Amino acid sequence: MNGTSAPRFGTGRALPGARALALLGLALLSSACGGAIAPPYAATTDAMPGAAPSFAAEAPPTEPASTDSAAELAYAGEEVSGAIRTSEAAAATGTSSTPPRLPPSRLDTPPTQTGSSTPPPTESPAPSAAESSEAVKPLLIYSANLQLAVFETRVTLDAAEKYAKEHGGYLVRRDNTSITLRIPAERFDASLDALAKLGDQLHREVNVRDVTEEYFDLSTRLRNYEVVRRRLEELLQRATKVDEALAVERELTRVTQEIERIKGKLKLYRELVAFSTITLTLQSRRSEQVGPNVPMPFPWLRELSLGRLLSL
Amino acid sequence: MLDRSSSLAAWLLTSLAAIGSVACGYSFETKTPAGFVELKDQDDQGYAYRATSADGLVISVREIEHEPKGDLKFWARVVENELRQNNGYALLDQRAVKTASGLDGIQLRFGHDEGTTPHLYYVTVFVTDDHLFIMEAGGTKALMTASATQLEAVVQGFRGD
Repeated sequence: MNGTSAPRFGTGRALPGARALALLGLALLSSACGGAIAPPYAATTDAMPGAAPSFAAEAPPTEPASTDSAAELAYAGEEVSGAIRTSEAAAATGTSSTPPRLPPSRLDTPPTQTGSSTPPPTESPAPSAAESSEAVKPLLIYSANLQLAVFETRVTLDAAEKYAKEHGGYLVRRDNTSITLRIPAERFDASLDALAKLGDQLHREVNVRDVTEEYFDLSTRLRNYEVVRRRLEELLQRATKVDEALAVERELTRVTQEIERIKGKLKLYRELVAFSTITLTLQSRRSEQVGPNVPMPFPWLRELSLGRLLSL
Repeated sequence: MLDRSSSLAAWLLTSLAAIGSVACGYSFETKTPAGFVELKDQDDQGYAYRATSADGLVISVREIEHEPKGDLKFWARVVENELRQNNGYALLDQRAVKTASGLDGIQLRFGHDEGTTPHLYYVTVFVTDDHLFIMEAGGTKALMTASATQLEAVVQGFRGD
């Protein structure tokens, strides 16, 4: 009597498993898809009109966030949104004594104002949601390796650690001959120079990784998963069968785990962008490595050594 | 009378020893500082002169034929590169020195950890027309710091031809 337009929840005794599968299929299709959430739902509904009419009635999510980069960033966390959107305020407080938790000036600086070594943000021919309203700021992860010849290794390691702490950074790892520090990104260059002065610099290597695209991809996926989760929660509330509820709950758990995983990764990116990594390797012992310099043809030079001098 | 001659000879010997050491067959003179003893027969190890304190602070001089010819800056740079880049010594300081006899030199001061103990290693380069003189001094940081005056005196008292 209700025909095919009536919701089948609670009436389909014959095919409860099929309904649960249909629900899950929709959720899976949506969550697995990295793009916008609306098209998969619409497509699914069109493809299976009889299987899930209730979805078709409610599914099309009119997500204003999908066309607003600010809203998109908000999914990734208030911190990033704030950091990117409030560049002036962040710049004004960039020298605060407390370690910044947000991506600092490098995030806040428009691409055209970054250093010459930083690549411009990628310009997609078809503007995505993230790029629609404003230019995408490059998210750059800076890291450097410094090799220093020193003596009194421990003193140098102490000095490096102290420097990091005094400048808003922190210690990541330390052993007898090397130390890895995280320094606020806006102090990266100055810190590199300062740390290089702790010894006799033998080698310096700076690396920059642009994670802008990865970051926004993850943000998009996160937003989509959030939508899926809301829908699953709605479905769970309306489920009248235990097996349906269980199936939806399983999917809800999976989606929630995925959301947490993406959030964790986004948080990691934010931290890596906000704090540059500097590794100091201290060379205090005789090195047998062949250096880039041309060896001088004076045999007596090879005899110069403190060890030989003190070997009586 | 005999006693007087003996004491005169002894005085002369003592005075000569106090004035300084002249390395036999070499073209330089250097003073062995108080508290050090000169070690004999160091040639086979490349040293024309080597002396040590009781605590293990060692001073040495190498005499090398000045061939090919180069100026003081060249030879100092060669030594610096060798020790810094090939041997991992940390250059702490570099300073111009001048002996009492007027010979110019460049002293390179390196730091180096031997085991876990910090050491200092000073290499002073002198250049004459015929010879390069490489004066080395090394020991623990504590010893080298405590003996700074004596080390200065050794450099000041060096004479090379």
